Amino acid sequence: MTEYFDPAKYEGWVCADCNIPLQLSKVDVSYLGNSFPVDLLKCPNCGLVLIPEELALGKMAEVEKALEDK
Amino acid sequence: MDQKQLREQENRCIQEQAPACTAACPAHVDARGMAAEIAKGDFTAALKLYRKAVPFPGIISRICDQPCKTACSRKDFGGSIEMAALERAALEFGALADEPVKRLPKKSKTVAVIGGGISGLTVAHDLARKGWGVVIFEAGDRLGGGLWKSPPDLLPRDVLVNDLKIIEELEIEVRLNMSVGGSGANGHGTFLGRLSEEFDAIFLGVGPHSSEIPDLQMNDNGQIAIDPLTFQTSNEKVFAGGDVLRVSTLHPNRELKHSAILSISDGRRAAVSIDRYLQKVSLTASRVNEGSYETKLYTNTSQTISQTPLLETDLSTRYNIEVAETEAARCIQCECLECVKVCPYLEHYKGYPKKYIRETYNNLAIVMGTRHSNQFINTCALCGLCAEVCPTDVNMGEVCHEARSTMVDQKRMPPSAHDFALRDMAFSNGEKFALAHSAPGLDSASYVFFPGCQLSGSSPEYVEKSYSFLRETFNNDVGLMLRCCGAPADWAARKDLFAQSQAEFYAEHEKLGKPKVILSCSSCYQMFQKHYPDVEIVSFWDVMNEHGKFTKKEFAAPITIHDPCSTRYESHIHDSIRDIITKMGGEIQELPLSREKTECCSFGGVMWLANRPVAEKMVQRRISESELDYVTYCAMCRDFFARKGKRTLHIFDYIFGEEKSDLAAAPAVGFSQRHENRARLKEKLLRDLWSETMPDSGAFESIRLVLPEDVEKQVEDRLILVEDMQKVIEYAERTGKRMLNNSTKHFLAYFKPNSVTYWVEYTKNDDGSFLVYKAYSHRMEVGIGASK
Amino acid sequence: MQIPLYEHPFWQSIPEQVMRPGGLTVTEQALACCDIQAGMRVLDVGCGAGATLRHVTAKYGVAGVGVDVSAELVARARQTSPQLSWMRSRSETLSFANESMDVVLSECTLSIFEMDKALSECARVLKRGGYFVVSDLYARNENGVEALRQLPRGTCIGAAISQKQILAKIEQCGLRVEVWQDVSEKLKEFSICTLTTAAQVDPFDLHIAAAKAKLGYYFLVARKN
Repeated sequence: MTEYFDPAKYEGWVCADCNIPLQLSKVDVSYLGNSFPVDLLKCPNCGLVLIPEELALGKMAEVEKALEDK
Repeated sequence: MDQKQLREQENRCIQEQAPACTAACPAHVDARGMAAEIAKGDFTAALKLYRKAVPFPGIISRICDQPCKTACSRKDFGGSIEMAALERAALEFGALADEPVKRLPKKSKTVAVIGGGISGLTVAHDLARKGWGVVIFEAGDRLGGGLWKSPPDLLPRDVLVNDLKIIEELEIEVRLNMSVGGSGANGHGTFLGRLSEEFDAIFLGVGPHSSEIPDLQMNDNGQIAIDPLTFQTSNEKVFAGGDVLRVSTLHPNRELKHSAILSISDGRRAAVSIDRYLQKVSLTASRVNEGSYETKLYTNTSQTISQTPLLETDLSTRYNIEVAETEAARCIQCECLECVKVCPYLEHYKGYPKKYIRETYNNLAIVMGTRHSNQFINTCALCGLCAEVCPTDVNMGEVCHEARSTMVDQKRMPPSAHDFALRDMAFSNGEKFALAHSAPGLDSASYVFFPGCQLSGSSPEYVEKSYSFLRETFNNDVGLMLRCCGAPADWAARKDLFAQSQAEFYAEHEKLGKPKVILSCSSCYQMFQKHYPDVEIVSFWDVMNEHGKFTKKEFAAPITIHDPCSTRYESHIHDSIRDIITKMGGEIQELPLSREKTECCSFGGVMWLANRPVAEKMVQRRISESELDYVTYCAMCRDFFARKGKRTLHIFDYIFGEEKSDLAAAPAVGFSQRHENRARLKEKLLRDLWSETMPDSGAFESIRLVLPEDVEKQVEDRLILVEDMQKVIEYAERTGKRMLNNSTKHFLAYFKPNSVTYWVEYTKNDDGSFLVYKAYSHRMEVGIGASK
Repeated sequence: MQIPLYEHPFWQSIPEQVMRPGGLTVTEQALACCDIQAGMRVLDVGCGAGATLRHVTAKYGVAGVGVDVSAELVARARQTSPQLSWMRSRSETLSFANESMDVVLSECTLSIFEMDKALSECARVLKRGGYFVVSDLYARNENGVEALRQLPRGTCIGAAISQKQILAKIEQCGLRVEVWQDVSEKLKEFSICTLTTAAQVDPFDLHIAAAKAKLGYYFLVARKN
C-alpha cells in the first residue's frame, strides 16, 4: 500500500507542536483539480503531514507531470 | 492559433520535397533512395524501389537517357551519379521474390491500346493492374515497337523479351499485325470510330509515324493537340502519348530525340487519365508534379567535396558490387535540414519543421490524446536562427510562440514550464528591486537608463558604473529605472502578466517625462522593439562606443565574440561591440555562427527551465565551437557558459573590470544570489544617490541560513531560493508547526508561499542562525486530512 | 483480507448504492436514446444491490431481471425487491434463452470480466432490434492503454481500453453502435480514487497511468441487427 515511501524510515518523527508521534492515515492530495487520498504520516491531533523527500521528488513529481500533460 | 497561418508555414518547409533527380525524372524514380540502398549493399531493396517507378526495368536501365543527370546536385562536384549503371547493378545483384503481379479485381470496361511500343505497353500494364480489360493493337508481328531499334549489345534481346513477359502475366490481349493507320479515305477514320464503339477508351501510342495519326485535331506545329495535363485529345475517348506526340506532320522526316523514360511517363499519366475517365471522375483534380519538374528542395552543397566516379561510365558499362557501392556512396543524399543542422533543439526531436508544425497543430487541436508535444512547444528558444538559415524563412519560434498562446488560452499550459521565471520577473517588478527616478537633483529626465534585471542580478557593480558613465555623458540628465522588461511573460505567452508589467512601465515612464530609454540588455532591447513601439530607445552599446573613453587592456590572446540571440537583427549593436573591443586593443576571431546567425545560449524562450537536457545540449554545442575565450554582452549568456566551465567574459569585465583577477573563470551567479544582488543594488543607489531608504523587509528576511556547500548546490539545482527557505523556517518557528526527529533532533517544516510547497530540514544554531540539511519542493497540494 | 472489489464496505456509503460514475443520470441519458415500451424485458448485467433495476422497472413499466456475480449483493437485492427476479451469475455465461431480452444493460461491469465472452453472451440473449446499453471506463488516449496495463491486475481501471477497441468489439458481435457519448466529467465527481484502497493499488501509479491514458467514461447504445 505505501510502496511510494517506507514508513519505517520515518519512525522517529513526531509532531513538535503537539508532542505526539505521527501516524499513518488518509491525506487528500490534489493538483490541477484532481484529488485523491493517500496514506501518509500525519499528526492525529493538529493534522500536520510529513511528505518524504523521495515521494516529493519521485512519484509526486511524476503525477504532477502526467496531469500537466493531460 | 490560426490554422491558415500554421498551414502556411508548414507548406513553406521544403524538406519533404523530392530531390532534384526524382523531380527531373519523368517517371519519378527514387534515385536517392536507390543510391542509399546500394551504398549499404542492399541491391534488392534498390530494385524494389526501381520496379515501383518503372514497369520495364531491364529495358530502361539499358537505354534511359537519364534526365536525372542534368539535375543531379553532384553534377558540379565531380559529375552526376551514374543512375543507369546503378539500375543495371540493382537488376544484376538484387533478387525480387517471384510473386504473382498484383491486380485489382476485373472491371467491366475495356481499353484499346494502339501501338505496342513502350508508351502503349506502359498504359496497358497500368490499366490491366487496375482491373480494366486491355487489348493491344500492334501493327507489327511482335510487341516492343521502337525498342527493337536499339542495338543488341546495348539492349540484349533476352532482356527485352523478359521485361515484356509481364504483358502476358497480366492477361492483356495482344492483336498483332493490326494497323490503325492515319486519317484518310480507306476507312481508317472509321476504324477509330469502330474502336470507339467497341472500347470505352483508346490510347494512341503508335510512335513517330505521322502517317499513322488518325482523325484528330492538330496544333499549329502539326502535332496532335492534347491537354498537357491529361493527355486527352480532341476526341474525348482518345488519349495519346509517347513519340506520336513528338512527331510533326509539318516536318515528318525531322530527326526525333527518343526518350524511353519520357514515353513511360506519358503512358503512366495517360493511364491515370483513362482510369479516371472510365470511372467518370475528374481528370484534373489533385494532379501535381506529374512528369518532369524542378524541385523546390534546397540542398546545401557549400561543404561538398568533389568526387569523380570510380569508373568511366556509359550505357554499356557493367559495375561489379564494390564499384556499384562506391558510386552509390557518391550520392549526396540531397535534403534540406538547414535549420536542424544549426539547432540542437530541432535536432533533438529527430524531425524537421514540416513534421513539427503538423504535430503542433495536432497537439493543440487534440482533445483525446496526450499532449506529448507540450514540451516540444515549450522548449523552443524562440531565437529565430532557423528562419535565418531557412531557404523559405520558416520560423519555428513563431510557430511555438503562437502555440504557447493557444495553450494559455485553452488553460492547458503546464504551470511548471515557466513558473520559476515568472516569479523571478515578479520579484524584479516588486518593491525589492523596482525603482524609477530622475537623476539626483532633477525632476524629469531626457534619458532613462534601463539596465534590466539580469545584469543587476549577476554584476550590480557594473550597473552602478554604467549609470555613472551615462550621467557623465549626458550632463547628468539620465534617470534610472530598475525593473523587468517582461520578457519571461512574453516568452511564456502570458499576455496578462506582460500587460500588467507594461502598464506599470508606462506609468513610471510618463512620470519621468517620457525620456529616451537606454538599454544595455539585448533581451530588453528586443522586447521594447516588439512591444513598445512608441517609446524611443537607444542601445547602451552605441552610446558607449560613441562616447566612451577606452584604454588599452591586456589581451593574452585573440578573443571570440558571442552575440546574444536577441541582437540578431541589430547589426549596429554588433558593430559597436566590435569597435569597443578593437579600441581596447582586442583581436577578434569570429565564430562561424555569429551576428545574424548567432546561436542562443538557452536562456531565450525560457528553454533552460522548460527542458533542461535540451538546454544543456545548446550550451555544450556553443561552447565547443572555439577554444578561445568568449566575450559577450548579455549577463545570462555569460553565466550559462561559465556554469559549464567555458571561459567567458562580459564586455564590462574589460571596460570596468578589475584587471588583476581572472574574470573569465569566475563562477556563475546563483538564483538566490541574483535576488540578493538586485535588492542590495536598489538599497545602495537609493541611499547613495537619492538619500532614500528601502521599504520594510518581511519578517522572513531576518532568518539567517547556514548552507553547507553540498546543500547550496542541491537547492540551486532544485530551483529553491534562500527566501523560500527563510519563509518556511519563519513560519515554522513562529507557529510551532514543525516536526521533530527524536534521534537526530532535526526539525522538518513546510510552507506554501504561492504555488509551490517548500520543505526544509534544519536545526537552530546557538547564535540564532539555522543550519539547513536538505530542502525540497512539490506542487501537489496537501490537505490537512481526509475524513475517515 | 482480500474481498472482491465490489463487496467492499466502502460501497455502502455511496447514496442509492449505485456504484458507478454518473449513476442513474447516465443510465437515463442512455435509455432516452432507446424506444422503451412497457412490458419489455430488461436484463441488468452486474446489477449489484439492484438500485438501477428498481428505478428502471418503476419508471418504464418493464419487466426486469438482474444478475450479479456477488452472492451477497444478489441476496441484498432480493431482500429489498423480492418482486423482481435476481440471479447469481457471471456475465460470461448467462442462463437465458437466445433472443429473450429487449434491453440489456451492462453498466460499469464490462471491464471487470472477460470482455469478449461477456459481450457475446449479451448479444446472444438480446432480441433482434433490441437495445444494448453499455457504460464503462475507457482510455481516451489510445497510446496510454499500455500504461494502464502496467497496473497490478484486478482493477477495472487497468482493463480500460480505447474507444476504437470498444467499437470494434461491439461490431464483432453483430451489434450496430448507434450512440456513443463521452461523459468523462462524471468521473471527476466520482472518487475512483477511493477504489485504490479497496484495490490495493499505489494511488500515485494509478493516477499517473490514468492521466497518461486520459481515463474517461462513456456510454453507448447499440442495437442488434
